[in-house]
Amino acid sequence: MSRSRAHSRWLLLFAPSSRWLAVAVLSLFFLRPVSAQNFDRANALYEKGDYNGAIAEYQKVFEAGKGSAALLFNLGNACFKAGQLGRAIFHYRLAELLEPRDPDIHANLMFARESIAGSIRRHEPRWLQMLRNLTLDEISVLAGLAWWSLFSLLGAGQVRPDWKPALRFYVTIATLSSILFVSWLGFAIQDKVATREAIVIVKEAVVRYGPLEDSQSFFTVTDGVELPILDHKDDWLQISDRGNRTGWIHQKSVLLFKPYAMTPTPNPNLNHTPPPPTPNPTSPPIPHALSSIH
Amino acid sequence: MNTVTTEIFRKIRPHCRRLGTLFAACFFFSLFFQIAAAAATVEATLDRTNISLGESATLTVSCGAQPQSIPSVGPVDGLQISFTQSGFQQSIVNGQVTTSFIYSYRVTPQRLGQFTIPSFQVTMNGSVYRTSSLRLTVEKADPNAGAGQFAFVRLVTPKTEVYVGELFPVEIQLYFIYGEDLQPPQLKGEGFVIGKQAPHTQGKAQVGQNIYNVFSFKMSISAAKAGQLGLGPAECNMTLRIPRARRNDIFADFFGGPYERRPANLLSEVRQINVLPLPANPPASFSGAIGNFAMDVQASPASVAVGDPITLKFLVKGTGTIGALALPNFDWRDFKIYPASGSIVSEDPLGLEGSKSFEQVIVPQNAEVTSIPPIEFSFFNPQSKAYQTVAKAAIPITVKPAAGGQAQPTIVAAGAPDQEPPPARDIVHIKSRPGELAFIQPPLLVRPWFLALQAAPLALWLAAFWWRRRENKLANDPKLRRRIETRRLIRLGLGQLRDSAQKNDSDQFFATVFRLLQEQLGERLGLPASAITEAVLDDSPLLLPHESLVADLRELFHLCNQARYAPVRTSAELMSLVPKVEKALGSLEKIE
Repeated sequence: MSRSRAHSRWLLLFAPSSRWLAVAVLSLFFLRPVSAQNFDRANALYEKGDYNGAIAEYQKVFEAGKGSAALLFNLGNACFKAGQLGRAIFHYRLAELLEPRDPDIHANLMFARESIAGSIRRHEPRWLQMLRNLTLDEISVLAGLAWWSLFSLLGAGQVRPDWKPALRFYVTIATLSSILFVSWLGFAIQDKVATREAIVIVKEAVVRYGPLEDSQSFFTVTDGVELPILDHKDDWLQISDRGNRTGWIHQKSVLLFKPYAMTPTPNPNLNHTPPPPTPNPTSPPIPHALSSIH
Repeated sequence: MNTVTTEIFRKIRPHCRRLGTLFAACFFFSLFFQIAAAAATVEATLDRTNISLGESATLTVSCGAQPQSIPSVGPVDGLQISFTQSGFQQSIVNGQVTTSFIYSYRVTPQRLGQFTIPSFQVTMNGSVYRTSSLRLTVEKADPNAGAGQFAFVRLVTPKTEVYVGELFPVEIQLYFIYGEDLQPPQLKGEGFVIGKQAPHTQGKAQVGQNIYNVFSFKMSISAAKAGQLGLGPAECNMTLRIPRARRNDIFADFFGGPYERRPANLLSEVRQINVLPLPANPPASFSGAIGNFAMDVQASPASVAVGDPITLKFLVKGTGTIGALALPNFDWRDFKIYPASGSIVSEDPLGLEGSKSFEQVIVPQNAEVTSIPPIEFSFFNPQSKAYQTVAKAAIPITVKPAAGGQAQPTIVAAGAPDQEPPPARDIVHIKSRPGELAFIQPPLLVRPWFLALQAAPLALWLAAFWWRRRENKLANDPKLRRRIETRRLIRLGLGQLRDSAQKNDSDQFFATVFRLLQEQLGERLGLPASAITEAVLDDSPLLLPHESLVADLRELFHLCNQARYAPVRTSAELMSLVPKVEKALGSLEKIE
């Protein structure tokens, strides 16, 4: 754990992403203590066992437009303890996007996934885990640095042709680095930005053959199940499960996991995340901002 | 241009051929290598596991490599097994070549009952492989079922009495003579949960006087509540092709075809399943597993220091609810227990048989620990209708004190040792600090400043590239270099002219005029500037067509010569000459 954190700090020191710069600057000028107070209050409620109260307090921080991996992690924990497995997984996954090297987030996400009835553990190859070890911003910065290095060296070679032989080795390294990081960035965009999944947040949701209430039910999915979205129509989402069964599920039964919304005004049909019907009456709705938290 | 292109193609064509041959060789080599390296496996499957007496099932043997001989199946008492055909199947998925040699057998029962086709061996690549055994249930044929129909659906359940949560197979068999647009069947069943579905199989069967195409859809299912529950009907939608009655209307036969297409909604019968509740008072280590299982546990390393992790590897293997298997809670005071991870290996497509392995990390908290406590795993066995427990004895381990310090004592609350909560399998606790609470920002990739920043190095490189090309061009073209240099001199010289005129410095003014004329004429005529005199105006063929320009230049040369002898002129007079000089130099620059 400590090794991973040290590695994380090293990376951030040499490749500070704008998120961290923004955090540093904003912390100096705009950070209001009220957010930290809400966080502490929520933690106190959590320790007392008032998980719904804790969820409400954590949500208040988000309502101020602020977020952090620790906040999402704690919110995920509160949801898990309140029996809202789908919402817990949703928040753990958001937290994992911000802090992909945090073992606590990873452990709780894995634990929550395995708590789903009949769940099968996802086996990710080692190389895939390594590729997912950096945030999108960190990869963007690394790709940017490699890109800058490459063209700076090429530019230097144009200005001083006599340097070209000496620069050749560094140009090769910079070219390979650029290809590597840009490819990595492409993978990350595909993996993180293009991800469109629905996470079930009701005890049992019915998947139907068609996007209509009158359509015949096909199969059911339980709280916490993550389903890739194939299409949408009105308030219905077309999903497929692990058995490659394809059907339609109503939006009210799921939370949409579309973390890096690339458009400033996302499709309201796909980003509307109303609270579940009655899984837990005291559970507050998830703010829209979460769907594009960065 | 075309000639150059043709020449280039002519030169590279032999290399292209060589490269093409190389690529083709690599492709076929890799294909051969992958075929050879493909894991040689053997799989035997039946298209249906339940048939009626009088019908035949199809046994398919799929081999990953070519066997030395046709696999020999049977004999099985009560079953007639005859080889029908063989085939070869190759598929490439994501560059992975899969080759299968398929052998088909017709299995015809001669009496009612349950049959087991025993495992048989196949020799491939010098090695002997064995298939798994297969079960076939033969029931009495219902004389009314499907007789004389174009299509019908059967719902086959091997059991009519199950326990809540018990996983059992169900088969939907669709019989039709001619048909198309087949939709996947839908199984209705209040109180049942459908599990895994296997890919459908197809074959042919004779019922009565008709030969039917048979599609078999297998799935696993479990009951969610106790009681007498109805399973079904299974519903299939398809379009039947029904032969038209013989008519003597040639036009109707021509336009309508020999078949009539008719949509059909086919329903099977409803099966009554008696679902029993699990017996009361399950063992403490029962965590919901239903089936028949065996367990193995291994711990490594066996010698650790306090605080070092030990990995417990559990392997639970058997038949039943493999996917829902969970480890019991371990209330071990001397260990810190982390969440376990599990993975499933299914041995049949319905997930009824297989194994689930767990990895549980435990950390001893003190040096007094000498063993990992005994581990029990309980399950309900529907066959024996009782709970069963498999146990693993305590595993001895050696725990040394932590390096560089004393053994860490177990912290127990004074006076209330039993109130200390044991370490539980739970989520990691909440974080006490919120971290850097920041405003929610879009990712860097969509921020304009970041994208602009990435465009900057490209722009700088393009600028440097353009500059280098210009430098190289100048270095290789002395005329162009002199023209640019002359332009610069004239731009400076005209400024000096105005200064000299304002200062009324007649000598300097005309000396500058003369020098500028020399520079411009020298550049145009390709002569050294010092070699230019008024005489070149008469000799140069370049200037011949431009009489007025030559006249202007001659006048300027004349004024320069005059100034040597009568230099005194007013500032206004000198200033009035500047436009003339500018015009003459400008015209001179334009002539080619």
